[in-house]
Amino acid sequence: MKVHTLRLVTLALFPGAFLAAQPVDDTQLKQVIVFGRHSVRSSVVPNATLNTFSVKQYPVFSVGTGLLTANGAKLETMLGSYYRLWLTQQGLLTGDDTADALSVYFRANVLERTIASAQAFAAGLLPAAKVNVNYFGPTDSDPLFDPIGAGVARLDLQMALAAVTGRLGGNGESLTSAYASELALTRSVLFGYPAGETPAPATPAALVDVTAIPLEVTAGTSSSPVNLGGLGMLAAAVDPFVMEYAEGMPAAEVGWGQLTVGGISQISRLSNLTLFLECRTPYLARVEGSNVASHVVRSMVQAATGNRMTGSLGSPSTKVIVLIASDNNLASFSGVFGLDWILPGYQPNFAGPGGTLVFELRQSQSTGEYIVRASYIAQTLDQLRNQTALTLESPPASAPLFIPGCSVGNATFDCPLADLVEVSRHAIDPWSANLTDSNR
Amino acid sequence: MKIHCFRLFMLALLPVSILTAQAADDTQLKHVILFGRHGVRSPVLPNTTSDTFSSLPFPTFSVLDASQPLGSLTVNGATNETILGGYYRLWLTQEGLLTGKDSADAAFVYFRANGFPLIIATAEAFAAGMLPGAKANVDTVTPNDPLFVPLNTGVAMIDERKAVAGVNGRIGGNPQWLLSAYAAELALMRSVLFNYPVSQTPAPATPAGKIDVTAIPVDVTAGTSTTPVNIGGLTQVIGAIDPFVMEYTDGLPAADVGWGQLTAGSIGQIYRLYDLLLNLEYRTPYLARVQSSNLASHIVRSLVQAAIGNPISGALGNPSTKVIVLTAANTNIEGLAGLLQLDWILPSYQADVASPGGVLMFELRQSQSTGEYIVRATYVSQTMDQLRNRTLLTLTTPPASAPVFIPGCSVGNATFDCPLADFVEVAKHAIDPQSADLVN
Repeated sequence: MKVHTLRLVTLALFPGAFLAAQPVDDTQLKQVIVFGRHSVRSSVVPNATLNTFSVKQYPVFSVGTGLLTANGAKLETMLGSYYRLWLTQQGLLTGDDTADALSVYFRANVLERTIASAQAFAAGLLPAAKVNVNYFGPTDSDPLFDPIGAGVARLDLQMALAAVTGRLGGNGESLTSAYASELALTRSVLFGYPAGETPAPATPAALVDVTAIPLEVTAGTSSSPVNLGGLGMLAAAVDPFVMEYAEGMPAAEVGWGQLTVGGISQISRLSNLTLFLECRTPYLARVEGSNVASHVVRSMVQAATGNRMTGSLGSPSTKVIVLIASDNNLASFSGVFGLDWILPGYQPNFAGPGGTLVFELRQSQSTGEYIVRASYIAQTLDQLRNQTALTLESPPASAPLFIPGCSVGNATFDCPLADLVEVSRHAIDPWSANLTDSNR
Repeated sequence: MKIHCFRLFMLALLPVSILTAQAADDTQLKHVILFGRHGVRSPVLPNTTSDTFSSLPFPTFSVLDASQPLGSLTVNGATNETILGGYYRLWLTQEGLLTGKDSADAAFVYFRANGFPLIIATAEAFAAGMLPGAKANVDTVTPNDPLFVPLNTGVAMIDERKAVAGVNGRIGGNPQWLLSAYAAELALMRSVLFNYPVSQTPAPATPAGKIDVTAIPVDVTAGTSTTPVNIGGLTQVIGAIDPFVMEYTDGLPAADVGWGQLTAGSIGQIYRLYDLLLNLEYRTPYLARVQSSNLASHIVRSLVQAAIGNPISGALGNPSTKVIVLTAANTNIEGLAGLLQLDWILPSYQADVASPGGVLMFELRQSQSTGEYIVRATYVSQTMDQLRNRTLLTLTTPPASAPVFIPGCSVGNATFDCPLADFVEVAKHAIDPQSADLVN
């Protein structure tokens, strides 16, 4: 601890010019952790319900409720293929898939869409190998992705409700008026009238106006401990738009022809808001994101030291760890560390279909020091829609991430591994993480 | 430290039902810190500059001190501050901190304002409402106040490259991506500035001789000690939209509020661009830590001083001070809120807006049964319409207020009580000791 403080003081005394002289990047990639959201899926709420929110029927995806679509699988394989190219270039993969498969660890949350996404990603990453994707049974709670349900994280429900309410001035009404433009745009799309029409037409008979349901903060479930009342319904109503576009549906079926990609992005602020409150509220991020954060950090330490370590994933020789879950998992995880990003066409901190938080463990070839670089990498909405082949020359969009309290001021936001361990010691709630290796 | 962990552990084990059963509030207010933004002011940019951004000339304001036309408290702004001070007089008298004998009470009140005429005039107007029968002494530190511009005074040290990296690493290193996420706000703003309906397509060309501030490229560069990171382009955007809130809240005729094109709601929507700038420049974790640690340290130490009744270093006022009024700018409020991760929203405003005259309040209260000291944080502000109408404030028609949950400290009760001892622990971690001093 004293050494750490001294280092910071020394850093603060460095003149800017000294820091400006960056040495050439002499680091080598030793391990990578890819923490992704599933790719394009059908709506998680059945169309029979969604259709009570809109004058026209929601388009039907080719798969059942909440499942990965065929295009989603294809897109995830394309993303895996991109990682294959990049990781081969970086020397982590060799081209011998069968041999490489021994040094990858795949873990997916229990849902079909996350397991199928992981399998599709693996098919792109190591096409010639049979990759084992680890996951729990369909009715189990994976302690990495549903730590409350798994009994690993303990939630004080009153505290959770207070923590959210205490960001909203005690009620949700002000939020409703602050998002009036998004609500108005959503309503015009759902009820099929031009945005900006005044006065806005009345709610059609027998339909539910999801933009008018009061936002109330109440207790939820273990995977979503805080319920936001009307905002939850609203998020369900707008969620399909991103998927319709990314799935490549005809323009006439994307928000019934009323939404541009810009309009989809603007409306997605409502989905973002839900995650911002339910997952990024500091107390909730700490409870929901600590276990996966702990395992990510410990896995990097395990790879760096080369010695087996409790509470990590894979083995000391694992070079690639792929974790596939949902946007709420990415949100709480990034909330733990205070990570923010934006990619072209998306709203800030939006985790698009297939989007990945990436942690690179790199070692300096001159000093031997281990550093971590974080980034958020995802196909843009148009790369998804057009099923654009991804190569090193036409890569997915990527945002390097500054890790608060750890990254230094260089161009690649290098975060010394030892400092990341210090940051995570404070950020992670030890009562919400376990030391199980979880090598399922 | 061990005791602290143990306490948290015990809390986690309490069943929800016990936590729900809130004891009656037996706390008594012992001390209050009111950290406010200045009141309604004239624009910071001269109209000769801002008029190059718009088809129609910007309106002029009636300011208190005609010799200071720019960035000056308006006559109505002063009235609104006195109204707000009058409200606090009522509330603090009810709470027993003021007695009605202003001359005697003045001895227990410490006013500190950042040393600009706008800020000092605000503090004086507030004092005129809170203690109308006394001559309040507003303390200033010139030329630079270490509480509000610690970088200028050498109290805080900044690593400029890290500051720029800290911002770039939240926006993918590409501010243009961020701007495209705000396309709706930029389009609305442009339509107001160039006086055409927002729905008009194609949008008309920029009028001859005018500057389209919505099209200026945005870049992130090293700035000055008061604004360490300069977000070029966005700064001009802010210059152009900053007057709208002031036009509305100063009570200018509707035709002069965004030239008749803006409502309170659409002002809020456009103002998201300003909120974004403040978020990046002041809430970015590294910047909040550098710029706001000294203020946070003095606030926490002042609360401790009031609780123990003995002078301590780095505190404001003296152990018998009951009311501390700090007046500065929205940049200071955002920075402190960022450091402590405080969020709020009030009717008529977007989330986390520090409105004209808005106050971030810290109450130090003592339980009459246990003697324990707790802190409650609240954001209090006149609504847009209360400002515009100069609505008289009383205990029955108060300003808007949002109780604020303090992450890592507040417990799960209805008033988000934060034990003072825990607040000190949170502050110890949040505050950068290299960016704070122990000067009283």
